[in-house]
Amino acid sequence: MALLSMRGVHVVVDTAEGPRTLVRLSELELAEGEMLGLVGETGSGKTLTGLAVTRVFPTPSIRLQGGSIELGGRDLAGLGERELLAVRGREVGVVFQDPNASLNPVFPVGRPLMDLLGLHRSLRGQAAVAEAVRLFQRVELPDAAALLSRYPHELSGGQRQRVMIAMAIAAGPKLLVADEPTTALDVTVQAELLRLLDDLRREAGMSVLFITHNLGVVAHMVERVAIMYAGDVVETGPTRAVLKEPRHPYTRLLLEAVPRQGQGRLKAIAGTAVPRSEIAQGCAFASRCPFAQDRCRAIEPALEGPGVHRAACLRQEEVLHV
Amino acid sequence: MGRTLRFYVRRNLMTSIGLCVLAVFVLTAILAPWIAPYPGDAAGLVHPAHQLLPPSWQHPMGTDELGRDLFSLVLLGSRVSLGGGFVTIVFALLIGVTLGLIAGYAGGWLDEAIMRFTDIVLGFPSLLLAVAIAATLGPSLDHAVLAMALSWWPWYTRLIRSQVLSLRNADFVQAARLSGRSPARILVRHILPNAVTPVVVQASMDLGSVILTLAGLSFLGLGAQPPTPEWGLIIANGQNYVLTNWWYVTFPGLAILLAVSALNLVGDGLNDVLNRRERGVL
Amino acid sequence: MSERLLALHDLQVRYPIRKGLLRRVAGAVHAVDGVSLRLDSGGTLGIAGESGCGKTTLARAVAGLLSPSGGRIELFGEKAPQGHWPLALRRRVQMVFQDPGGSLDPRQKVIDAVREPLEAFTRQPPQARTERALALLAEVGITAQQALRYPHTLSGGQKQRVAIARALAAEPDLIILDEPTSALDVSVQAQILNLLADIHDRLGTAFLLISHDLDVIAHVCERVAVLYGGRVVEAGPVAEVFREPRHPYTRALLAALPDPDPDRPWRPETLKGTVGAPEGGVGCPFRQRCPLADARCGQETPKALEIEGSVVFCHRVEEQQRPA
Repeated sequence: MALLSMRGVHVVVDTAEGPRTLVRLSELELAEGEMLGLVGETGSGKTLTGLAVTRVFPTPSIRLQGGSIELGGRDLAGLGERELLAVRGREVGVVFQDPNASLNPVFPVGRPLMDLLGLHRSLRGQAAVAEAVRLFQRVELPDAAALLSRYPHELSGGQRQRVMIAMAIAAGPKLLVADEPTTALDVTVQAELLRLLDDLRREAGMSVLFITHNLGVVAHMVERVAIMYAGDVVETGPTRAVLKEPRHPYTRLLLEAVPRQGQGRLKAIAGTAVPRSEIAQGCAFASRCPFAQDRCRAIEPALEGPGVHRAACLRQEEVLHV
Repeated sequence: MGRTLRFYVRRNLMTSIGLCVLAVFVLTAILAPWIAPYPGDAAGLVHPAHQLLPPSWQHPMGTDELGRDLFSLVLLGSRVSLGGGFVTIVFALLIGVTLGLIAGYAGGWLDEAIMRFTDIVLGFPSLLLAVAIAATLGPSLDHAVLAMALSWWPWYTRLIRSQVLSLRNADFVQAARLSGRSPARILVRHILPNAVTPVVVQASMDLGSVILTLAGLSFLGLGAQPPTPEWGLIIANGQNYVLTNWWYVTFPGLAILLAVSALNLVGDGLNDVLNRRERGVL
Repeated sequence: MSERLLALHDLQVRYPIRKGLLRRVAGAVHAVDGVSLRLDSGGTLGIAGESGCGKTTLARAVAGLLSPSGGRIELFGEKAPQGHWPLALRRRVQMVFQDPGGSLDPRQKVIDAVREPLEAFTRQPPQARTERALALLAEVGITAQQALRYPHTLSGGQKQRVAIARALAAEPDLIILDEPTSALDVSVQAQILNLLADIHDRLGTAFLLISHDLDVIAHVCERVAVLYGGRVVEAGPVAEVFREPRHPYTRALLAALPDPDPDRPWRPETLKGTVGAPEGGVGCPFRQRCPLADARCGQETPKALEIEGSVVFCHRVEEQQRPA
């Protein structure tokens, strides 16, 4: 059964010329205990899709316009701000990309964690300290007890991100939204952090929405992936199937754009991404797509395909067999 | 730029009000000699027969104890007050920005020397400096402007220097070095344009305070001298008549209040527009 | 045909650490700690390493943007001067920065950014400079319309194209590319890498490419040097080093990199500890995190060991080689 089910989620930004669509998501589902890779490039709407679950957007001018976001059978999109407070942190934990910007430099790193334990689990005093130490140990931070009173600048980037993970899982959420958690880190540190995330997921039966632009990480970390382009999912399915036999031209081109040793010219994707709001009709990728035909510019494709591997492309069979 | 300006003016009512009021002041200041009904009054003409008349159609703001038309004095006084304030700020900017640029970019002992000198000037009360200058050179509007400019520049030095320090190692400055540019040219072409925004905003907000201070100095007899029609000076002359002839200090006082408020509103608006442009949010 | 273009001899760059109220110098970060490298004209050398390894400092020192604390930089057979470079040398070494937004003056139109080096390095009349700038921008895919705009109206990839055009305007012999694509999306990165390949093929410009992304280095460069703690730990032809990495750090780095092909195995090693600021001194810079380190690694700085065209700095590798 799906833990998270997002349908028709519509995120807009208010501008002087009126609201502009940033995300118009057909559907996205996440099973209990599953780690789903949400992949996309800058401006694809992958981060906003993740943030829509808790409705904490980077600026007040970005807001949820419509759609349903069901978490464990309850529609979060219908909840008010007060009710959402109980969801944030408690049912849904979030880890952001930049561990430097996420921690307040004037407080020791243990302080916000203990605040959270007080807020969500009513733990105070010695009980909170003990639990905080346990959580720090769980995210494999060395010397956990001493680290509680350290300041963010005394920690390395990888350690800070571990602190952020400890905070995100402090209340035992059912869902963890991890927004590019390792992008700011070195590769050798990234590997350890990814393994930790996967361990935590298995252990707690937690679902993880893993947002990333890194196809390599996705290939080895998640069972299922959803590729986003211009605010919507264009292809979804088991990771292996999507990466080995892509049905959407965008996925295909994205994979071919990854540089490798001894390879000649890279197959770059022509042009730049057109924002959702500027596409009147048809497929959002049509203007850059080598497979595009007239009908692609007229009909907006829906996610379809054989079984669980689906793509939003009218010519997916041709794409698959080229 | 024009489109941006319109967009923000529409969004910001207070700025547009300030801008309108300021425009009226600037226009009347420029046209004062032609629109003032009795321009001669500001040059020293007296009309003993008309002394201390309340506001009427002939004298919209009444007359003073010498029978001079207060409306004409306030109008012509706006030239002195606004002009004096403007010149003060320009002088302070010239000194402050130049020293700040040098201190920030050169670093080392030169930076140290300039900044310690700046601290000393900052610590020196501006009023005392004005009194000292008035005492040695004699009280006059020019000397008041000089005294204020000499005590006002350190703020701009500090602001510019901190901007330059953060810009000095910016990639685009390094890129300009790679493009074969001399330090002086980099300073003027790349660092100054990027450093100047907060200083311009600060200066536009300071203009109000400077006009107020200038009026204060004139009020104390350290600034404009009679018969120069300066707002502070008019109020100083009228202080004996506050209770008996209300219009005497009320109208020049209102002029100061309106002009300073308008300048502050415009400064705020300018801050918004420039900061947004900086962030590329148009 | 190929002449020596760049040679680093025991290059060192130290940053003082200041402490306390009086800001007294309490020590130094050895950002670059004795690096020796060379690059022939028309060659491509990649500098690989993670944050704090000194690669960006190295790039800036070679570009003449900061002065080395020790050692020597030789450019075109002559020692590079300390401090301000003469224009003739300045022209021959250009750089492209990591952050495409930060390397363009926000108050300068795109075309003026490209015109600037033309003004400094050539004696063309203004009209010819404008034409040349537009031609250079067209070569990197920036239209005349875009050239008249301010940088913030361009995308990250477009800004990086402008930065490349600006570097080309000087007609340099060496372009230092400091993480030129790490701020860009994969699809945009591919466009920029293709553009760089075109430039290299057409003009024969030498590249010194600094990157944390081994895929990018493998794609662009013929030779690679892996940096750790301000020192080279392994260097050699890309094909050789990436096929058979010998230094434990190079191995860990390559193993940590996941390939988008799910069928290629991904077995990252766990390294102990965290990356600290390099302090210099005796011993191997990698010893605190190295799974193979022993007492000798802390007492003795590993010497250069040549194996099949590569150079490795590691006691363990040297011991393995000895019997053979």
